[in-house]
Amino acid sequence: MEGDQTINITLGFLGGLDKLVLGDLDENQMAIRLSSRTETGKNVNLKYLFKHIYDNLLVKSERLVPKRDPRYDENDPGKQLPFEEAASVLIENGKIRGGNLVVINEADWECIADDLAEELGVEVVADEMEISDGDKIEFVTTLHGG
Amino acid sequence: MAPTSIIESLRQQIASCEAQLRDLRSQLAEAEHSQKEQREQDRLRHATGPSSDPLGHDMTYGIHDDFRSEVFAVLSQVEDERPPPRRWPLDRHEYRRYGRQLIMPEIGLQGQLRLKNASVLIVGVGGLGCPAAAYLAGAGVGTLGLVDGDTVEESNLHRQILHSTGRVGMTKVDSARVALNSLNPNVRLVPHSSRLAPETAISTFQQYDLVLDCTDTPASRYLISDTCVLLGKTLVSASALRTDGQLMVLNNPPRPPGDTSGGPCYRCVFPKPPPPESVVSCGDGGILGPVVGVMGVLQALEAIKVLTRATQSPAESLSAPPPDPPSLLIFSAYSNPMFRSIRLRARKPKCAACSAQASVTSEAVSSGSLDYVQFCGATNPVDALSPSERISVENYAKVRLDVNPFTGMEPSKDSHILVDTREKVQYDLCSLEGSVNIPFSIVSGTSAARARWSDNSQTSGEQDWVSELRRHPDKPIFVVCRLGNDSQLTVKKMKELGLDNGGQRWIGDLKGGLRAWRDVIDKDFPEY
Repeated sequence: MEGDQTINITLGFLGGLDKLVLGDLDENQMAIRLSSRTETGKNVNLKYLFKHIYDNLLVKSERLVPKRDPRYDENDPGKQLPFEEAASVLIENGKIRGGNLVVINEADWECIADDLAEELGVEVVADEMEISDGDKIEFVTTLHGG
Repeated sequence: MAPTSIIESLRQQIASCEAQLRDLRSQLAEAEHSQKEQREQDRLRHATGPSSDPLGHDMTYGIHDDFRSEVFAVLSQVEDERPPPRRWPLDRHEYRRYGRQLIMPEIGLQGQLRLKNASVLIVGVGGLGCPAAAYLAGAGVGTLGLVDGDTVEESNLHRQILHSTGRVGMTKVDSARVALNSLNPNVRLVPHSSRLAPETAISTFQQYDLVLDCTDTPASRYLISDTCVLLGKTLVSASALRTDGQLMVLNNPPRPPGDTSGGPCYRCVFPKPPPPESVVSCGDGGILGPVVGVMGVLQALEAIKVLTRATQSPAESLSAPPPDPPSLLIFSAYSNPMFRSIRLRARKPKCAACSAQASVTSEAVSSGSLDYVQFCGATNPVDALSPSERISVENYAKVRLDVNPFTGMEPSKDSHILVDTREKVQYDLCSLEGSVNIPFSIVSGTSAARARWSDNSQTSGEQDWVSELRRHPDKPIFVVCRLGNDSQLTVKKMKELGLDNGGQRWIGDLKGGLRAWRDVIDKDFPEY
């Protein structure tokens, strides 16, 4: 059945989001598997991914700090949840919050949306762009120190 | 260093700066005088026809080399309607000083002349601004403007390379002028010794060709970008924190608002500011000196690229190569590879600053009606506890050090629990004797993790630190952190977890944290 198909994507967290999201793990990225269709049978898009990240990978907290839970186990699907406390900086009401960039395969997502809009001749809403198998989707937060 | 020697060193510096100033004034007067004479001579020489004898050239000047170079410098400015006939476009000492970059095709004679005629404004003379200014002064940029309202602090010195131990307490702008002047006295340095404000941004930026954003807050980044768009200046923007840095060249090429062929501005890339609670300063988050240094050096590099490519006439600009497509360079000191480049969007069609529908105008910026601080939001100091849940450091010192006047009991560190919620790396630097370290990251993750882990796995057990504190239900808990913010949130969290036994056990925090402890009680406690 088509609905059972899955896609593999890589998520990355940069500019300090790695510490925020992945804690002290050495990697700043992780591979995840998503169903290729939503419950309503549509191809999964970025909006869907953000909700997935928000619901499954992030936990809200009163302040944003690095966190590593020693009970994280990468081989156990029930324990693949090293994300902590990044929700309030990264995603709010299903939208990416200010000060963050979404980078898809080495390009700003707005850049890809613009290219797509030009190609199709229609307006493209960035978070409605579909995700494909093998995509590398990264989140970059702005730094402000100087 | 003893205070007297600091005073002495400051006096010496002031005296030396004043002497330098006097010297510069007299040099200027002499140069102006020579310039007048020079023009007179040139006029005479024009009347008699140009000399074909190369030696005659040198002879006709008849003044000391040093003055001559200054005269040339002054005369080479565009303000002179009739440039004097010169044998070489650069002065002898300039060929020597800039020789290593002059022989590179990327710079060459034209590039060097462009640098010499260029003026660059550096906003923020800190970790980014210091290395950026040093390399631009070294490269022979004609005029450097320096904007900063701060004074040099000891904690700046590990990364802000223009400042020095002896200049702690001096304004950063003055300190940078001393260092830059000794590096390259040919560069004109323009001090702007106050914090950049919306009211003065446009008038400050106006006289410069290019701007470097070396500041450290979102509000200043939006203000600088808006001002650059309004004035048609290219902006080299960088930032750094901990082990990471970011770099963008914005508004490049600097076309007027509405012209889609111009480069994107800061608002195109980041239309909305980050949530204020997520903005971490170098003081709170930490910064590795070479990380911010790398970013500042890259800003200087991008500035040199922009300036040497810049053209004077519209005709030239047609033939000039287009600037690089917009990108965000990400530096990450502990990643492999350390550098990555992300392709950025073009100008945003609905950008508030650089599109045809822009709402950001010069009037809005300079009148102050665009409130950048409000736009970016401000974090209020944490005020989570009632006065009865807080104790001053003086009173806590009594708990620790004094004999109880009522019971006559000797103080004992066993009488209570002192919890220090700084992260372990900070706790290891210095801590109060008898305290236990429970990092705030552990505390803040606790209830959420508990709920989740009980859902997702069979472990419903409590975190160790919670059970440990439960084992002594009678001892009051004092919570301390660096500044007195996290400690309040920790007290709240402990109460949520029921550690106060329904109010039977006192839990509270030390107002002002370890900073107050050092300021009021123990001067020897390290400041970092």
